[in-house]
Amino acid sequence: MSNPSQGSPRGPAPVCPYLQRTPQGYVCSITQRSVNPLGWYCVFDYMNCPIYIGHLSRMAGVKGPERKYGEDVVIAAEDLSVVFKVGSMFSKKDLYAVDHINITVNRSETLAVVGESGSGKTTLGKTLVGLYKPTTGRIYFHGRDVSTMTDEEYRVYRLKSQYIHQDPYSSLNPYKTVYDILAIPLRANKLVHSKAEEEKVIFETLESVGLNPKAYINKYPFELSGGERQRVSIARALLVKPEFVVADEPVTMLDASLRLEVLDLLLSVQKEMNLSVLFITHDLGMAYYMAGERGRAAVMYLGSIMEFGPAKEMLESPLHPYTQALLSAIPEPDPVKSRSKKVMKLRSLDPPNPLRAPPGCKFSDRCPFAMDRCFKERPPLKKVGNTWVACWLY
Amino acid sequence: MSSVVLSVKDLNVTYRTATFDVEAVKNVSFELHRHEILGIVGESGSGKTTVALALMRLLPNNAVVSGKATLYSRDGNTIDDVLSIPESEIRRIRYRWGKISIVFQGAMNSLNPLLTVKDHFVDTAQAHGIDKEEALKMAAELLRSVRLEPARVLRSYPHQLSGGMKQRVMIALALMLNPDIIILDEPTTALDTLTQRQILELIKDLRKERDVGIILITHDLSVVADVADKLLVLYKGYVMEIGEIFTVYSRPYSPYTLMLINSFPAIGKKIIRLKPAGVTAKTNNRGCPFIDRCPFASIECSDADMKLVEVEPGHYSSCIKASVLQQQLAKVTTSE
Repeated sequence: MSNPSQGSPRGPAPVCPYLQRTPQGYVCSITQRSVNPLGWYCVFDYMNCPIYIGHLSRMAGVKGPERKYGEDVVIAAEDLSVVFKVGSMFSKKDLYAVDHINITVNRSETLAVVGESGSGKTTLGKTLVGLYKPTTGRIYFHGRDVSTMTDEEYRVYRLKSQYIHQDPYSSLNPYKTVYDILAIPLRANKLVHSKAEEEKVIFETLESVGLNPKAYINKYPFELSGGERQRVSIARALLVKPEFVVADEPVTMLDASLRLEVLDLLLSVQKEMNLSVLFITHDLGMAYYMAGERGRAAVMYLGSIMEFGPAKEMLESPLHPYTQALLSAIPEPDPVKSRSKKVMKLRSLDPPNPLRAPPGCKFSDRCPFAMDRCFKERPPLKKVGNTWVACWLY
Repeated sequence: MSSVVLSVKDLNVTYRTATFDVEAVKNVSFELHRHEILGIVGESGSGKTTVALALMRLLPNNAVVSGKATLYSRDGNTIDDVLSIPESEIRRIRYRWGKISIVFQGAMNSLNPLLTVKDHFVDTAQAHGIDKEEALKMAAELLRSVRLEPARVLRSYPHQLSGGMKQRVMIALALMLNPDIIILDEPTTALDTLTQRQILELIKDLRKERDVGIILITHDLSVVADVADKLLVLYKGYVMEIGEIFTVYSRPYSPYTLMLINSFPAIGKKIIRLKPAGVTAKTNNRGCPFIDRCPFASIECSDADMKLVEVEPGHYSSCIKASVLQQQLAKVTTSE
């Protein structure tokens, strides 16, 4: 790790005038070896730092590969593919879990990604936070290409983009207490200097997720209910003050009566911390609830985005036949509505093997509206009204 | 309404452990008619699977069961007390699987990965004294009845089938001995929206086709809303509410049911938010179990005896403040 006085390899790091205390009250110390994407030494909340923001606006004028996308875009993926090699040694095949996707997530926005299992939504989420390496394409974090980041920058990117796992029963270490589970990321990233500070941050975070710190810090995961576990999981992701969080089906493993509480918690911390959230779900109702009025939604099928647009508009009147089929299939928690609903008849009930996806439109073999063209050519995303849709019908 | 196929009276199940007893199911009573789907809804720990296991007589040895359950088989035989017939008798009359069968939670993962679907059917059949040829004939017919292609599926190993297909194979296996009742424990939990819909449609069709009564156990209210005729809401072992699905949904007489209905985000649905009243129970073993989460709770609730009261024809609730709830609810919905 480089000496702070030498700065990043890109040049000397400017001395931060907010050395003593950031606006958020965390000790900002130049001796901490963490750096924001601009090469500033900074521990927490540089996004709220007036100096940093001033710098950003100057940078926005800079053209070239250094900075793409506007200030609002927290994370962007360009032509992103993730390919898994499957099959035996001599017949390896490429499975496109994520197939040339372009996506952007804006600051404090929720982007809901909806799809069946096997649609690649989890792979997309994991790739965006750096848990998988993209096979092709680039990921931009605050306009900086992740693949060309310096080690320090990459560390900040990994720290500022966090992941909430689907299953709270297997994503918490059963041998550690809640306190230890939460202390590990703080210590590993050297975000705290003293035991007292560590405690303060952990207590605050636990409170922010609605758990009474005193009652929970010494508990082991097996002593917690599903909802409590998921709260700890959320606390762990929020502890390091991320800007971008991938929430991978955070409530599917929870009891119905607890789901809404956890969703509301996510919504409230998102507002509080100005988080950008990529919300992965297979439930259109949930996507609608989370992305709501302002957010956007994307529907994925076999690794591709079929439809993408403002959540409310898109989910209330979807354009793509696949989205329409999903919408017609969701069970409504109301017997009158649910029984009067007409379910769209698909030509095949089960999705095809992703290794043998149809050559044209991936949905063509199930789509009731498929035409000759659909079997031959893959439709590009086309803008219809406010939404983007990949379908030859439009 | 067709005839009753199962009637359960005051079912109690207590698990004895070395240190204390856990009352998992308390005074559960219900009736299941032929061709009817009864949805049992509750969160984990509410005792819904225990009810199923008690009826299947598959509870572990430390469980103490009381109450009475009577099964009226379609062959005219009546099993008077399902809960106490001896194990030898169970085998002789082929009670399990023959009269009542179950598809367990996560059953699609319980197929043997080393056996083809055909082997599963043959194995099951031979264990019950049906020869191989007969078994294959039955298998083909059963698979067709769960909308699967026998020719392809019989040859397949479980990993070659999708989750929905595996679940349908499990349902077919459960139907093999022509039971009167089939219990489905969380049949759609791990499935996708589209697959879930297929399974639910299948369940709806099966009850007439196979002449069965179905008990559908789930924590997902939207699943029962779609298919069930009757709804039984369990909470911590108590029946909170039971009634016809449409009346329970439109007029819930238990705050817990109301909370469940309002915990599902759906497109274009308005969610009623109510805060708990903050009343805590006096002692652990008395009163309403929902008291600490209930928005309408008051101090009387900690003494409630949780008896089911008929609030309207065929609709029972154990909430002592059911009428208050209805008034408040009317207020909330009009003020919004």
